[in-house]
Order: sequence, then C-alpha cells, then structure tokens
Amino acid sequence: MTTATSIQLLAPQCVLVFTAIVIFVGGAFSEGRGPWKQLGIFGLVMSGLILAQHQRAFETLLQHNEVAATFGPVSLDLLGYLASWLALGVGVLLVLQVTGTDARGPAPEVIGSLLLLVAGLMLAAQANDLVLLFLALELISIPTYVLLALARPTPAGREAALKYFFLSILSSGLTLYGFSFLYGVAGSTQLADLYSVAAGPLHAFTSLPLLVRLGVLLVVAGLGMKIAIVPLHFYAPDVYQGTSPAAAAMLSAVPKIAGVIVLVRVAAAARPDLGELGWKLMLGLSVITMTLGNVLALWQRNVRRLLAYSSIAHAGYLLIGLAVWLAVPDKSVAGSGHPVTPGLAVSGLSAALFYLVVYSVASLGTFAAIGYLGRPDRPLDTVSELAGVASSHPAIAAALALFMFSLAGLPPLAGFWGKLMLIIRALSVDVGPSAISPGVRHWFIVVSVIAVLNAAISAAYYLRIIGAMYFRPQHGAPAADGGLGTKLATGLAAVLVVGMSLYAGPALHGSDVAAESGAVPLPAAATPRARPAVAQNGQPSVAVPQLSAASR
Amino acid sequence: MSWHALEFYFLALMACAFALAVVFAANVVRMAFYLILSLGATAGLFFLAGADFVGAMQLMMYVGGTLVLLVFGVMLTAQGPWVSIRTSGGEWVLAALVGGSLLAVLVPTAMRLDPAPNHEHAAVPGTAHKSENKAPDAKASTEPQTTRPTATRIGLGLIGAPTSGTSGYLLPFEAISIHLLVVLIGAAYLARPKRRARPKLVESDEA
Repeated sequence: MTTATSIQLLAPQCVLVFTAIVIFVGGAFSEGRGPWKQLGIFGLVMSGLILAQHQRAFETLLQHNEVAATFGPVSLDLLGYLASWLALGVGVLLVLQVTGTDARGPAPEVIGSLLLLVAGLMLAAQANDLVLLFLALELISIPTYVLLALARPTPAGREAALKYFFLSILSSGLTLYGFSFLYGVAGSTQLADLYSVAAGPLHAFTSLPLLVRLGVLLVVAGLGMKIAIVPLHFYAPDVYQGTSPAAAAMLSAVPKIAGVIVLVRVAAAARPDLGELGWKLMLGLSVITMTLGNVLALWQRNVRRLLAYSSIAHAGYLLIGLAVWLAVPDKSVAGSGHPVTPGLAVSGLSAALFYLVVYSVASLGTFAAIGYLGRPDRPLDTVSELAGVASSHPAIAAALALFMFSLAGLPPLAGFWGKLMLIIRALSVDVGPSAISPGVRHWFIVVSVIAVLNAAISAAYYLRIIGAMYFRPQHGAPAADGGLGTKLATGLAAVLVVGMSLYAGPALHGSDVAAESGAVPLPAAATPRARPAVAQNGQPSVAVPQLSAASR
Repeated sequence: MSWHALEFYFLALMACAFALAVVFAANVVRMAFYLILSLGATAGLFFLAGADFVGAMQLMMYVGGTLVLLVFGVMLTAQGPWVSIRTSGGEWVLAALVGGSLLAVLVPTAMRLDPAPNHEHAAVPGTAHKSENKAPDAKASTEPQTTRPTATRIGLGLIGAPTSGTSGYLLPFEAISIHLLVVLIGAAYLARPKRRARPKLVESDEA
C-alpha cells in the first residue's frame, strides 16, 4: 500500500508530534511558563479520539472478515491498539504528574518530549517493519535522555542521566545488531517476511535458524536493558534514585511497555526458529529477575530505589507469561496433527499483557503519589519520611496503599488477578496438546512456586511502606507540594486500578483478543505487491540461491 | 589492457599504498591526510564499478565530513602527546591479528565470485537486465557494468515511489527527522546559559 495510507493510519501519532512541535516552538517564544500541560493533555485526548475512530473502522472491517492487515511498515491489529491505548493512558498520567525543578512547573521542553515519547510508543506498537521498530524505540529513548537530563539539576540527577544514556545506547546497538541478523535471514525488513521464511519447509535444514536465534538473543539482550531484566538491570536503582519521581515513573512504564511489545513482535516473527530456546530463556531470566529484584528491594530505604527493584521484580513476573506463550506450540507449528486449543496458544501472552497494563498503572500512580508528597526541588526520599502520612494526607495515603496492595498482589485488586492469571496459565501448560513433553510441565510448576514465594517476599516491603504511613507517628510532615497535577494523576491511577479490579474479566478478555491478534505477524500479502525477494508459495527465499549454487 | 583496467589498477594501488602509509605514519595529521587519499581512491573505485551513489557518499561522508572534522579536531587540540603516536609491540600483534582475520575472510570471498557476471543470480541487483544483452567476453569483469545512474533508483526506492512496488522508507525517514528535532532541542536547552538560576536563588533566600 502506498505511503499515503500509512500516514493516514498514523494520524494519532502525527497529532502528538504536531502538538509537541507547537509546544517546543511556543515555549521558545514565551517568557513565562504557559499552559503547556493543558495543551499536552489536549493533544493526547485528540490523539485518543482519532485512535478510537480508527479502531471502530478497523473493527467494522474485522466483522466483515476483510482485514486489510498491513499497510506498508504499519500493521493494524488489536495488540497494536491495546498498546496504543496503554501508551495514551501512560502519557496522560505522565503529563499530569510531571513537575519542574522549581515551583513554576515543568519546562515546555519536558512536556514536548513526553508527547514525542508517547508517539514513539504508539509507533512501536503498530510498526511491522524492523526499521520502523528500531526508529520507534529510538523515538522513545532520545526524549528519555532529554527528560532525565532536565529532571533534576543535581549531580545525582546528571549521573543518572549519563548512566542511562550510555547504557541505553549500548542496548540500542545490541538491538540493532540483532535486527541485522534477522534482516539477513529474511532478506526483507518486514516481520511477516521473516515469519514466512522461518516457517518455510526447507528452512530447518539450513543453518539459518541458528542465525535467527542469535539475532533474537541479541534483541532480548538489548530490550532486556529497557525492560530491566536482571543481568541488565543494574542501572535502574541508581537512575531511579537520582532522578525526579515523574522521570522515574516514566522509566518504570514506558521503556518496559515498548520493550515487551517489540519483544512480542520479534518473537512472533522468529517463532518457528526459536524452538526450545525461547521459553527456556524467558523462564530462566524470569526466575533470576523476580527473585533478585524482590530480595534486593527488601534492603532499600530510599523509596525510588525500592520501587526500582520492585519494577525489576515485576518484569520477572511478566516474563513468565511470555515463556508460557513460547512453550505452547503455535497453531501453525502444530499444524501437523497436534491440535492446540486456540485460546491456550496465546494464553500466556494475554496474561503478560494484562499484567503489563496493571503494573504500569499502579506504578505510575505510586510515583505520582510520591511526587505529590515531596517538593519539586526536593523529592521525598526515604521510606521513613512517609511516617504518619495517613493522618496528614488521608486520601493520598489511601491511594498509595491501594497501589501497594495491587503491586503486592492482594485480592481482590488488579495486581492479584494479574499474578493469578500468570500462575494459572503457567500451570495449565500441559492441558492442551500432547506435543509438549512432560519435562516442560515440571519447569513451569517450579517457576510457579517460585513466583508465589516471590509474591510473599514482595509483600514484606510493600507492607513496610503502608506500615510507615499508617502505624508510625508523624515527625515533620512531608512537604506535599507536588501540585494539583500529581494529585489528579494519583486519583486517576487509583480509579483505573479499582476499575481493573472490578472489571478484571472484561479487561482480561480484551487482552486475550489482543494477544490472539498479535501472536502471529500479519501477512504482508494483504497488500498485493511484487516482492521478488520472497517466493510466493512459502519457499524460503534465502535457500534458493544456495541450492542452485550447490547444483551448479 | 584497456583504460578501464588501467584506471582500476591505478586507483587500487593508490588505495592500498596510502592505507599502508596510514599504518606506518606516526603523525596524526599525516595519517588523516593519507586516509583522505586512500578513501578518495576507494571512492574512485566505486565510480569505476558503476556505483556512483556509493562513491559520492564515500566522498561526501568520509572524505568530506568525517576526515575534515578529524583533521580540524587534531589541529585545534594538538597540544598533548597525541600528535605523534608510537605503536607498541603488543598493539602491532593485536592489530595484525584483527586485520589479518578480516583479510582471511575477504580474500577467499572475493576469489569465489564469478569472474564474469553473466549469470542472473550472481549479478549485482540492478545490473541484471544489462548483462543479458552483453556479449560474454573476457573483458566483462573490468568493463563498466551499467551506465544508468543508480542514485535515481535508490532515491525512488527510498521514498517508495508507486513504480517500485515497495512501501519505501519515507516514514522511517520522517521519524528520523523527529529524532533530530528532539536531539537539537534537548542539546540547545541543556547547553544554554543558566539565566533562570537567579529567580530561584531569590526564592531560596526568602525561604
């Protein structure tokens, strides 16, 4: 399809970018701090309206069974829509809670960068092409550097920004290196082409699956830094501690969402080649990530440092879902006589997506509450500063307690449903097909036990925060000078957490549907176009010259 | 021997000789100058092979941009011990190991190529249609493969012209422009003089 259609489909992102440019230009010409926050929210809402209109049109198409799936580098599926809505929600919560370095509110550059970052996240959600995926990731990373550099003008803040900058560049390089292997195998940057090459009949007899695995390994290493998976997590505590609560909130949500979505897209395309490597890698990383994150969080006194380790631990839980998804054979893989229940094939992915949404909202709300209790130029630091907040700020304390309970996974809150779904689906790995060897099941049982133990460990430090707020006498009231925006963000996040707790069923159904549509890359064939690199009948394109060279 | 072959040998000799000169020179400015000559000769090789776009890029980016920047950087900051470089023995061994392994990969690959690109699949993309109606002779490898400029086709392919049949990279290109915007604004904001520091000081005095 022509680029014009792609641009039309990208209207929500374009609105955000346009608003950001207006804010950048307006900020350069106005002396004081203008209504940039309001303008940012307005841009996000407008983008949401357009997105809603697009989704309605898309679902009409879906009902008529004519899914014009891919338009050039942009794909349309429910996973993309889910992630886009999540991005917009995260954007609203972030723009509301961001504060400046003094009482005059955030600089216009901060708001503009936030909007661009949300646009990048939405682009990553809908990209169907390795080039666009990478650029979308960079569109998230580069404004992040600016935000971190602007967040706190202290030495610790600069150290945080530099640390994140260098590690993020390293991770981008790793991701790009991995992408280059995938491109080399597929002969095209389209993810669907990679999938059709990997699923080709002769492909398994070549050495190309090894290259695909190497590429995916590098991509996981690169994205692991953004998701904060354990061997690559070490930047997180220092950066969260050194920067402002709002910037930490952004780090705890946006790179994680982007990392998970891109990982899902790449893994879905490379899936036929991953074999056992996929779920074993995810499962191993998940165990060390959640255990280390939770255990190290126990020792922390600084609130943001504690939440950094908590966010690492939650990344670990998430990976269980991805491991379940990769362990259960795909429908297309099991096409040779192993029937897989359609729902089961993507149940893990769906649980991971649900968990991602629940975690992001609760985490953003927590940081908003922490931001409200501190002062713009001196954020709240230690857990003991929270002592007695329940008596001085009962509403904020209640919301913070709600977020803590949700993150800890106490029933009946959304975090509990998320963890429950992850564990149930890890335990149900053996229910469906006979293609799964019994050894696999034991691994998932072991991991489920570890996850439950971890939830118990994590309750200790979450309850410590609640205990400080409710049961410790107040000494020196917190400044509580974060402004109206942080208060609104806290309230909005609390409403969302309660909503997801009450309507967990419909929300879970939504993530089921999204996972179903995102589990296999959309065929690029929906748009007829000459692609000489890939043979139309599923023959692997790369193997052909090799065979002919051998026969000569 | 045709003029084409003569030009090829001249440029190749120049590229190799100045590459060696870069290695054996001790002065950074001279190294940079030899590198300019070597890369310029490589660009000439690209032009000779009919890849005018790559040749122009080589001239503009490496010779014109990177190396001039390097020379200026050295000339503006050349006070320290970095002007002349003495390479230690261990570095020689390491460099020889790395360079030699790259050579060991490149030479067999170059030897394995078909001497006369008459086969469809061995031809460089874009030159296939040209090599069909060409009489197979021994000079085919040193003759220029195509006279059509490649830049037009690359440009059309990049923006995804309706004739090329691909979606193109116009959208990624636009995304990059937004990246550059953020980088510029962020850098400008961070690097500007901190004139807003004064009201903050007053505020903290009041408090």
